[in-house]
Amino acid sequence: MLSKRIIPCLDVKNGRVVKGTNFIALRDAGDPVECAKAYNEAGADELVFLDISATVEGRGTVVDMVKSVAEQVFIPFTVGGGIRSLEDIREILNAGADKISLNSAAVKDPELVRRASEKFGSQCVVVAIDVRGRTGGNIRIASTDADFKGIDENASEEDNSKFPSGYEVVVAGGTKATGLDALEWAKKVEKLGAGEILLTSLDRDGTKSGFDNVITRMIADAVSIPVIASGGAGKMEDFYDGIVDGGADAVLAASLFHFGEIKIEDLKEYLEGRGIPVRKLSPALKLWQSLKKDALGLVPAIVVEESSKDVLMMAYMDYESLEKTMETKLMHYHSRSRNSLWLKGETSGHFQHVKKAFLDCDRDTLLFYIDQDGAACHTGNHSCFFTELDI
Amino acid sequence: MIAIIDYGMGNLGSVQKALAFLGFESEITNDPSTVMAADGVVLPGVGAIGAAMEALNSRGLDKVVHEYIATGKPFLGICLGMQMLFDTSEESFGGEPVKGLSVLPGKVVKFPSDMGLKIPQIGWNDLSSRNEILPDKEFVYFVHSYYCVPENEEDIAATVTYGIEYCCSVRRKNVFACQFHPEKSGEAGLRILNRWAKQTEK
Repeated sequence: MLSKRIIPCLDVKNGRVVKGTNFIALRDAGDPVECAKAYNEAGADELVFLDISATVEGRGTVVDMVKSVAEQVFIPFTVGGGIRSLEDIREILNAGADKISLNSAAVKDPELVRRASEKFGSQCVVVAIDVRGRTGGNIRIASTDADFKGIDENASEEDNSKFPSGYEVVVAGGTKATGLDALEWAKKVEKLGAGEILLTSLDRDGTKSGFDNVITRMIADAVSIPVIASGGAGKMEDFYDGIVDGGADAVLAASLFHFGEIKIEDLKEYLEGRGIPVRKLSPALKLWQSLKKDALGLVPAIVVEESSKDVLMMAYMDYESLEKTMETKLMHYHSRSRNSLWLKGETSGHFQHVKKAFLDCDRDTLLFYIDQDGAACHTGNHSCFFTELDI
Repeated sequence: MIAIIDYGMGNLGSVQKALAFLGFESEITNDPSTVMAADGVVLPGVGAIGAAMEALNSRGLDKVVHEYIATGKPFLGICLGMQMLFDTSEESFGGEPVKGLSVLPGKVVKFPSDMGLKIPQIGWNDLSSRNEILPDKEFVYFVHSYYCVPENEEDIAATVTYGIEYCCSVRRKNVFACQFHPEKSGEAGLRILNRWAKQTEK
């Protein structure tokens, strides 16, 4: 079944991730590649990078960032912020992003959405729609943003009638009203060729009071493309509500994940427990993903006899051998000489039965306690380490 | 060396980057002799199949694909690169159904619009595997509105369910193809790519 996507959003300024200082135990929490890798390992289904650089030089760093992320992280990622033209889009996509998101540029020039989707395919064109409620009737949490002058709080009923959904599209971080009805705009961008809608409630953003599920549901029901809900998530229940009440296909949050207030893994457990389909990795893949591999992509395994505590041998594992070992509880290795999977004991009958396994502190070596049938060493010796050295 | 066929559409960098990450050398190329000399060939693709077939045919790469497959060396089609292997697609191009490469018998059809589901399917869905290259029940990343209906049941390597259960991967001899994007399916996808690419070393 198609799973609901959990998407962390990373704000990037001058090529550095901002707001991420408390994030996990990263060597460099400001490094977009480190953050992307950590989120990938944590189970994020996609990533969104939002460039908030104010300067041209700052923006120039985005392409380099996209290139580095694309070389290391193999889940889809979207890049938004400051994208104005087909040329900008081409540059970001060629650097390795899977999707771009258009926000104010789409409002300014709706045809850009059409041109982009015709040129590069709908699948890579996300239109970000920022909205605010027009009236109190629509769970308006009211603007806490003192600078916000976009929507007239005292607008007449006639003014508000221009917004049948009760929500207006805003741009420039919510500082400018556009006069566009949120629902009408969503339908329009779908027609223009948008592949997905990233819907952010600026009334809710930062409030931790939950997504605005009223407008999310309205738009999700009205368009056939996926809708990503954003703005306002504060607790795990909010994500459930966004999916169930809001009808969102994906849910997005930023600081909540960065500051570790909610772990993506825990969130997925929670959602799964409440019947929402989520993507989870098999235990073997999850372990393999977290290991540090050598230059050949292998991980050494030290093997100790459970009964005698003798060190019997050391060999290498790749993913296939680790998976088989976990599945069968018989030691499998990767034979470097034959470049193939090797079930220890397959020809000799000297199988190794796994009892316990440990991981070393650097996550680059595995330790197995086993019961050994016959001799561990192919020479017939009990252990491969039978040659004592003079030191 | 693995050749990634470039027919002028879409971003082919992701496949190359994933292969490089796994330690496999690859080249993005539209040169027939490079393709024929490769130890493995990837036919990627996103977008509309009509334009893609036209781009492939106009460069004479349709014949190259057939000739390469006839050598018996490993071949991998991804997304549109899987759909193009079949006889026809109902995705219209200038009002006509699109003719594919006919490497495998079957057709490409659109998801029914009455399933109450979003089209395209975008996101992670779990495989029901019938093949050792593909991990059973593992989630992989999909983006598509059309899906393949192979004539031969035995060509089906995996299915997935989105409203309906359909074929999302095929395998016949040296031809392997998947509707999902292994290069964008995280660790699960990398393992699939790795298993396939290892065959190019033999």
